Amino acid sequence: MTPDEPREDPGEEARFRRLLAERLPRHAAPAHLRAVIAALAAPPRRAFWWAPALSALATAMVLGLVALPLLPRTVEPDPLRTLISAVLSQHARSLMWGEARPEAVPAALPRVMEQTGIGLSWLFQGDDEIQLINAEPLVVEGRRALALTYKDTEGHTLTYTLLSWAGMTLPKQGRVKIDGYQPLLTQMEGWSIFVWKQKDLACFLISDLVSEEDLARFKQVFLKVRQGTEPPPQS
Amino acid sequence: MADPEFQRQALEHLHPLYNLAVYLTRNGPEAEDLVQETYLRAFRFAHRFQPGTNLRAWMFQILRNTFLTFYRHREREPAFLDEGDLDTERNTMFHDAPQKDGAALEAETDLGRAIARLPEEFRTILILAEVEGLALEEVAEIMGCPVGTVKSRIFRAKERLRGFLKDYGEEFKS
Repeated sequence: MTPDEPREDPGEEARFRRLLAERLPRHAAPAHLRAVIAALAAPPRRAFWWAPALSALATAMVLGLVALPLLPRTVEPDPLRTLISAVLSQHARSLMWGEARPEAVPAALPRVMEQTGIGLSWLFQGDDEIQLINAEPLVVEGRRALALTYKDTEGHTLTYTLLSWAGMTLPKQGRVKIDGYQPLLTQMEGWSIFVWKQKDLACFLISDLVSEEDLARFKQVFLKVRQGTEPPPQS
Repeated sequence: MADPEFQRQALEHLHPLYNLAVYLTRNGPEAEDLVQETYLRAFRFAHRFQPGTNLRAWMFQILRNTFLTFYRHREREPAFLDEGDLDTERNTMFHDAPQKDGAALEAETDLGRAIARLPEEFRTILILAEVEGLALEEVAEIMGCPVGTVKSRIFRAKERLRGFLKDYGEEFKS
């Protein structure tokens, strides 16, 4: 020891050392710390070649699920609904530009039936409450159709459209029972529409009778049309 | 990364390293972080350690340097902990020493508080030399100073400690 180094009483130093050694708390490392450090030391698990590919695939799937609702839909539209929309368009066209020629209808009917290929043994030609005012051939969604236009005493215009569609199926939901018949009654774009199938014909009756009271009248018109229409017997 | 034998030898010093870390950080979770960081560095730079030299001193040196680099600034933050608050009663659960009576525990609390009031370089030297029992040469290596400096710091540390203990109404007792 150099002369300028501090000197201490050996007895005092010994007591002090013992005090520190015996009475100063020694903190033992918690067990989990050893485990954590051992894990630090462990070599990293060998990555398999497919691990990143799997991760990328999982990420892509998640992103796909998230983006799915935003993708353009290529779902096949409901053919019946498409057809109803087309029939409605024709009804609107008939309202705006159709001609009322009740006197010419009887003479025109055979020709129109021939043009459309829809020959009817019978059809409803009107009564005191509703009048057949036009008959014309149409093409609806690529199908030839026969459109008959009626007008009731209150000025409501109704279009009765028939087209050949043997494969048409009607959903059970939305059917109404009218004197033994079960047509589909639906409303679209502010119109009431009856849809039913009669032999191989798909039939649509459209009107602006939408209120509850008007619907009762509309059902009566349906009955008249339905009972007054008779396709030819199937060969 | 270090070889398994190096890792095994390094882990033998876990408890002394953690003990010093607690006295440096004065906070259990901080001490754990400090020790983890110490081992991480030791494993990463294991190739720099020369086999046959003092691994214990090397580990303590890494711990102290890591503390000075990342943790010391927190010591200046007064809100970090009350001065000398070591929560020694809780930590005596891990204490190696046998159970003592209430008066002795109280003295330990005061002693812990007094140690915590020492400047870092005094505290570290005192723990290493007097608690862990390292040789002065080892302490000097860790602290990066001559052995004579270690001796004088130990002397001054004890002097201060005596003063702090008097503040708490404690005296050195054999």
